[in-house]
Amino acid sequence: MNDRTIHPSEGSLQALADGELEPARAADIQRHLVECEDCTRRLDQLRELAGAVTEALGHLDDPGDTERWVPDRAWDNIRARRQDVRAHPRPPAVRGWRQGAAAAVVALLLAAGAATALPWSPLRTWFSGSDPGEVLAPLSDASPAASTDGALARTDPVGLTMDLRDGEMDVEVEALADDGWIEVRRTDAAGVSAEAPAGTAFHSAPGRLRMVGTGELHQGPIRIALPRSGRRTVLTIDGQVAAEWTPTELVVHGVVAADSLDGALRLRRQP
Amino acid sequence: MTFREIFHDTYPALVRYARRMAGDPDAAEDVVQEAFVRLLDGDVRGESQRLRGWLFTTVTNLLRDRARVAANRSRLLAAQAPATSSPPEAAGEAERQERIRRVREALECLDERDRTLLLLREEGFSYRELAGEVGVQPGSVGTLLARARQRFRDRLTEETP
Ligand SMILES: [Zn+2]
Repeated sequence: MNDRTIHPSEGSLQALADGELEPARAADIQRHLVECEDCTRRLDQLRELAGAVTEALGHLDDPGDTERWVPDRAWDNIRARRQDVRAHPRPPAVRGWRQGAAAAVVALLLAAGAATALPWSPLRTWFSGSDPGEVLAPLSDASPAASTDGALARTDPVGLTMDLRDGEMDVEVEALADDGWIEVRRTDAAGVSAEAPAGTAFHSAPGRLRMVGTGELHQGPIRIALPRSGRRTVLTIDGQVAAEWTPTELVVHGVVAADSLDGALRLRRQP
Repeated sequence: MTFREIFHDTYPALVRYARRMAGDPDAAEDVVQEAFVRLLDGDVRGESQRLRGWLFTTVTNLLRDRARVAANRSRLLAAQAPATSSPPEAAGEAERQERIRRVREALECLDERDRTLLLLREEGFSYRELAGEVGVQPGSVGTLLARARQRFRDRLTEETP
């Protein structure tokens, strides 16, 4: 090896050992290794080191863990914890909220003032709110570009589908942008589906759906599909009841401007 | 793929990771379950791109919060609690405990970033994912990992009688 040979950095050798180098770069280094004993030795050391670390860390894993980690039991725990959360809901802080079996039911609360700075979530998931075992399409890996470019994920909608409770549904939406709008359609599906721009946080339980987003991240509409079979649905905007659906009736209140768009009811804040 | 399948796939790895990170199996499971509760409730906050990444990030954050609380509490307890003597252990068990203690100590001599890198790499995170997770350039992950592993092992072997 002459003195002017450029040896790969330790980081590059580590990346090679970890199989994380681009093929062209890996090939370059492989060519170098053929002629360089020092680097070959260092690579061997790094491999040996990684193996030793993995082995040492294994000591931290209790051999009894496989018995502890009964996923079914953990799953039950998780469901129980969610029930617990539902049993002790935070008191609604928004006017127009009505609760209870006899009361109304789909409330879309657009409380712009209630916005907190939610970091955007690029998770593009469709959960069934009623049974976590029934995700419609858990997450999309379809756009790898999203992993480096947050802007893409930002615009991808998030959504969920949830069952009614006794034919009724509570949906809250908070912190919609001033120029945001809601499109509501009736469908033959059994549950309510909602889709909102990424950055929206969903809180769900059977018969209840709450969406919280931040104004600056809301790009595009919130789309909601309501089942025709629902007994009663109430839409509340800015803490006020905006619209109510029953199988025979739709009542739109004065807080929103409503028009129709491609068969959907489009609701905006009343200017 | 149902949510349940995702759960079955990631739960053991998450608990293993949390446990290595925290050293407390109960806390580990608790935190992982909390992460899933948040996921199911759609209380999704974080910057990871994928569900798995999001879960690991959430677990890391929850563990950090908890460690902060625990540090305060143990400071209080240390002032008043008498030292408890551990029950007699079988020789093999004592040896095992000693090994665990040494590994933990070696792990704790790393700063949080390096510890996170090391443990997430063990769970199969790519350099790119690791870079996003701890906020460094993907190109520097190899160097950071090599150093973290070296420091970890140096500390470990230095301990060996
Ligand atoms: Zn060389």
